[in-house]
Amino acid sequence: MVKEKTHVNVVVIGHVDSGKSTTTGHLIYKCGGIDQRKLEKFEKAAAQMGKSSFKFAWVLDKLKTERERGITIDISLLKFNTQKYTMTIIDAPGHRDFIKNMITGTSQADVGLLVVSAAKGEYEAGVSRSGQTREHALLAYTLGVKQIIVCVNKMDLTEPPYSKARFDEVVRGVGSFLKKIGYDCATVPFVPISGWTGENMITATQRMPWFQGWKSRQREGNASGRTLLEVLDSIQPPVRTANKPLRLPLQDVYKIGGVGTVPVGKIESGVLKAGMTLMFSPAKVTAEVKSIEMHHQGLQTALPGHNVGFNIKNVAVRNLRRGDVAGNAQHDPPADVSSFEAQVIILNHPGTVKAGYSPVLDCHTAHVTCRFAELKEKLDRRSGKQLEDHPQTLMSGDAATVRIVPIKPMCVESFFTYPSLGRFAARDLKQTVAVGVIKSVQKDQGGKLSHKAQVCK
Amino acid sequence: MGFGDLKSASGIKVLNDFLSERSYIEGYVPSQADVAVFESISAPPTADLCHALRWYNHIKSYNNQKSSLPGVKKPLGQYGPAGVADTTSGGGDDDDDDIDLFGSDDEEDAETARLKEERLAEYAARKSKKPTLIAKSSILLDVKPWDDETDMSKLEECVRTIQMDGLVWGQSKLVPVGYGIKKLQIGCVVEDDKVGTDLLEEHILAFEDFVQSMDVAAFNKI
Repeated sequence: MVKEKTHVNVVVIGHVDSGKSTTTGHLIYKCGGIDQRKLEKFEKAAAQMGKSSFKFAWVLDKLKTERERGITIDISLLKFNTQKYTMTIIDAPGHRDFIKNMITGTSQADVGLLVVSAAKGEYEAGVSRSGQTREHALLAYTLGVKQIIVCVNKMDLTEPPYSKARFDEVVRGVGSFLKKIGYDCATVPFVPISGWTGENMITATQRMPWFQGWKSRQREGNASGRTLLEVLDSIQPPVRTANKPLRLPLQDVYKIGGVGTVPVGKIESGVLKAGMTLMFSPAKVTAEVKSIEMHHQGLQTALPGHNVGFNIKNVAVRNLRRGDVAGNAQHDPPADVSSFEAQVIILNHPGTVKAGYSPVLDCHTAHVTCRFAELKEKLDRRSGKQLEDHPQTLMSGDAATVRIVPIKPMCVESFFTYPSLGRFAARDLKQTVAVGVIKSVQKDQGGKLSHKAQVCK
Repeated sequence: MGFGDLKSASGIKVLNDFLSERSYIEGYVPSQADVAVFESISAPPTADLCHALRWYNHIKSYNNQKSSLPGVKKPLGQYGPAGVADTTSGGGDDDDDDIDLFGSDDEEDAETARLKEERLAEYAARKSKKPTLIAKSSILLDVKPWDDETDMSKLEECVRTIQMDGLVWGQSKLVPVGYGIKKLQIGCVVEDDKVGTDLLEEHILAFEDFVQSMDVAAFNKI
């Protein structure tokens, strides 16, 4: 049997005109992400219409039309293979609800691919104050996307075409703001490409002889190469968290005739085994796992990333609900928190945020109203240095450390110990008003089990 | 390389040491290198720093032929002994670290700013001619029933009755979860400005006889 390739999620970010869809399309088209039969059909049609020379563009356009009509489901999951990895690409939409989805959603991005247009005027617009480039990159950093790749796109449209001077200018500009956000530029590869003509995408181009190749400093030695595909193959695989304690936030709880109670959720860390005793928080219920199933197949052990259902003994459906977190009762069991300290960034709030502000927090599958009890300090986003002690108000663009109190029991963790249980989106006025990562948690003393709280300082 | 702060006594001291075994900053004839360093010194070195004073007076004598001296001026940091950085104020000016991320970029010089303005204006002009595309996203939803006996075709029927401006339902399939439970995976295309996931969730959860919860399985730009 062929060994399964490691799975990596890539989120493609960039300004509206950066050409990210074309770039994404090109990768998928060339790396076998499109159904072969469909591709042949389209290619034949393109040839018949005398569009062979623009085959790629034409096929992409057809696919886009198909997507708009929602004809195939599988097209909404963009997948392709590199030598080492199976990649799922998320082409980040400008939709206001996307950010929340990126935080609580099922597919947390491992790598950010920032596409910047080098074309005249487009680069300037993309990185300008109103451009999306900075905001996207900042969010990616805040949400723990530590690896970022920069594609300097549309090199065919610079003046003159394939200009080294323009590439250098863009690298300088983007490098400087990535540094301001917090990225270490020595680890960031910059690749000059054209998503349209395919320069440096899959194969190295002859048109930019001045390009010496990209470099990236990594933990295990340095990586270098010439094409975007090589960059994607050189990334560091996401760390598997199978050896950490179990965390499994519940999505749903079912009552199945003849079986009993079946909670369902995705394993964020650790392993789930039949026979294990689980602790649910904040429900404060313990139960033994009788059996596990995934896609209707029985499993003895389930691993991080698996979306599983499991059968538990002696617990009624009404005692559990979406937002509860299951963990091993013997190994750092989950507990609800009385308060937690988080670093937040205010995004789209129309006015000012004061102590007492109570938006709804979406964290893993939980959805709980929480009070900003104390605005502790206003921070410089890049350095994390304190700008102001106990600020009176916060505004859009501000970063701050805030003590937050959930108004009903809730189980969250510090971002450091369990990343996906430690990041959240704050929602108010039907939009995402803030995003945050949890620095430390104050576990509820009322919990039945005493244990060492894994608090990160 | 550099002399430290040439405006301070310590900087002049470094310069003095440097010149104790050299006639000029670079090479064996007066050059632009000497002019660059000379110009960054505010007052003649004191008499106890004899090497620096000797050099200072010598370069001063070239005062009216300064521009005709050979060589190209380089930043101060390129001259002097290795291992000493240039900290002369007004010297190297690439320290833009402290500007606010969303703040104005007023540290740029006028030329760069003008160039940027020009390019932006051209971009805006081109952009206004292009027909504005309606931004759309493709969203894949997981809709979960209450148990294995929920009528999934009825559930799907209900979901498809939801109609909104800017919403188009796409294909769907049933995905096995476990223990006989299936979830409905259904695609839709939304106009970004008109339809949000919150609104969809609200409408879908309203069919509370059939639907337990809804999750977003995939969210992409079209």
